[in-house]
Amino acid sequence: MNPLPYLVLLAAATALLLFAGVATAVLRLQLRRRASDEAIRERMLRSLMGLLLDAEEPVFAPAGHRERLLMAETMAALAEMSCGLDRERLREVVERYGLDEELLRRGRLTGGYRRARALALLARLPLAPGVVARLGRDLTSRRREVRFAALTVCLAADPDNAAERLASTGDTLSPREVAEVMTFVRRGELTFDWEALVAAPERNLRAVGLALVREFFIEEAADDLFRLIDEEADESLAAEAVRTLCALQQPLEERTVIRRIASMDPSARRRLARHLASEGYSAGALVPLFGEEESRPEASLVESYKCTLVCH
Amino acid sequence: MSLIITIALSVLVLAAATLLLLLLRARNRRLLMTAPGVRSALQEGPGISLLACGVTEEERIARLLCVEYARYEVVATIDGRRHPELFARLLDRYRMMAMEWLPDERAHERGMRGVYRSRNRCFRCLVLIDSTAVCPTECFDIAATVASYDLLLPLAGDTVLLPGAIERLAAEYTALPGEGPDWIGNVVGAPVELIARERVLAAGGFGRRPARTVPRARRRRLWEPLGLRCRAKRHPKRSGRPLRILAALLLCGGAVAAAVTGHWPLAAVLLTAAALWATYRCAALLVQMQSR
Repeated sequence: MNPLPYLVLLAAATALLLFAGVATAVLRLQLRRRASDEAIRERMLRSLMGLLLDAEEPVFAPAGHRERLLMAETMAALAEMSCGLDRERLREVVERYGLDEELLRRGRLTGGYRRARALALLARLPLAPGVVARLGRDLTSRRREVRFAALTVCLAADPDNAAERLASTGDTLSPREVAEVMTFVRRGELTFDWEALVAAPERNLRAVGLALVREFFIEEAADDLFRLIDEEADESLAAEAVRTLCALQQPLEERTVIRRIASMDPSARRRLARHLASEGYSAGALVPLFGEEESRPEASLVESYKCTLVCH
Repeated sequence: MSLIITIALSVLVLAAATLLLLLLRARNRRLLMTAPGVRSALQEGPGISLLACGVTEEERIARLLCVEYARYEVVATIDGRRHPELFARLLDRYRMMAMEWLPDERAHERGMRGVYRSRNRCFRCLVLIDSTAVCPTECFDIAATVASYDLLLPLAGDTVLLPGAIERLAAEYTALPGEGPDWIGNVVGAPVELIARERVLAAGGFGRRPARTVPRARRRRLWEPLGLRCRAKRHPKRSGRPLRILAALLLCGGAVAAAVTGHWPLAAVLLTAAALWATYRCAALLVQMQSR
């Protein structure tokens, strides 16, 4: 009997076993490194907080590429969870330790999601406007994630031209991307004129404008929203405008709204009815919009919410 | 014969390489989606109703409520007559009150006795259903009639979600412009699937396997763990480790004995089985370590 096939099989099985062993060892190593990274991050966070509260506090000096990345991550997380930070002090730290350089270098060396992540982290740091010129091909990358991350870097580094940049981008922004733009607005890094955005001819600007109105509960925008609902060609954006009206708790029995809802497909209507129910509209408010039959399930859901309120 | 084996091995190696690439890509995507700033952006994300069936532990509800995502609710089904003590404890702990409301006329027929919501604002996202339904698909159907949101996440009794799983699903749903996918599921770890309510309604309930009716273009598959199977705690003496060691020794000993005595096919089969088993154990260890 020729033992060769079985030897090959044996070799393959051994290779598989070795591969699994090496993978486990690598993961173990990574987990150990993650634990030590956590300790370093904690020290960095304390140091950065100390810097913000007391300028005399010495900042933890990162050594090597790894620690610089950790510091960039820590600073981004700090910026995410707090507002009103002294960005000038943080910018000094970024420049002193070359954190922007480090992230740009990582972006250049990697591709795809890793490059997008490096740029997304970069956008969260306090940046000088000069960074935009160094993005190069990232703004025209074939990967959507990279293009959007590069756009956020532009928005963060050059907030004065944010509206122009959003208008000129060739991609239609997804809901998550609009929400990410809104995080910059919430932190006070970007300022927009909501009226100009809602009336803008570009879809992306209108989407950001609607998010802005919802976020800051701008009741004065109601008339603009009714106009948008009436004239908007993009169905998804029109539905978004109706949702924005709901978020403002405005009455919806306007002819324009009823007409727009009537033109939606049945599943979109059901979704909207459910959204209205969860936003706290009464069962009576749903009937003129969706009709008796269609609003019955949502009306019963509303009853259950109202019952809670009454009994409480 | 050797040609066939070589081809088979090449296919195996290619498949392993593709799998590795997919996993690495998924890991990088996860890193991007969980980068600072992305999570806080999801304040206005899509509403997700988690449907939990067969609740037998108080702590399971507590674990499900530990999610910071804003538009999220837990609809838990429990048989109040079968587990009266647990049911009473839940009502007391979360200050639940009965609603004089049942979603439709068929609710009684389906075994629904009552719907409870919490008086506490901090537990407003919890809905408890007292139901006689035993089958998970029936429980999910009942819970779906009460759920407030358009995306449903049915979760089997022994599955727990990994931290950040809800946020991850919400980020994936809103990742592309336009309407989100109708089904998002994972390949790695315990199966977790997010499905649009409209699909469940169109299919006629969870019993009809609504995920199968979703066209490929409206699906999204994630190559990353979102949940873990949580087995009941074993007695230390019955942990199964000695048995596993014995089985491994027998397998290796048998393979060596077969090779020494010249029974090559048997040796190859035993060694391949040993290698596959070891790989499975390594993969299980990896998932366990990742979840920690």
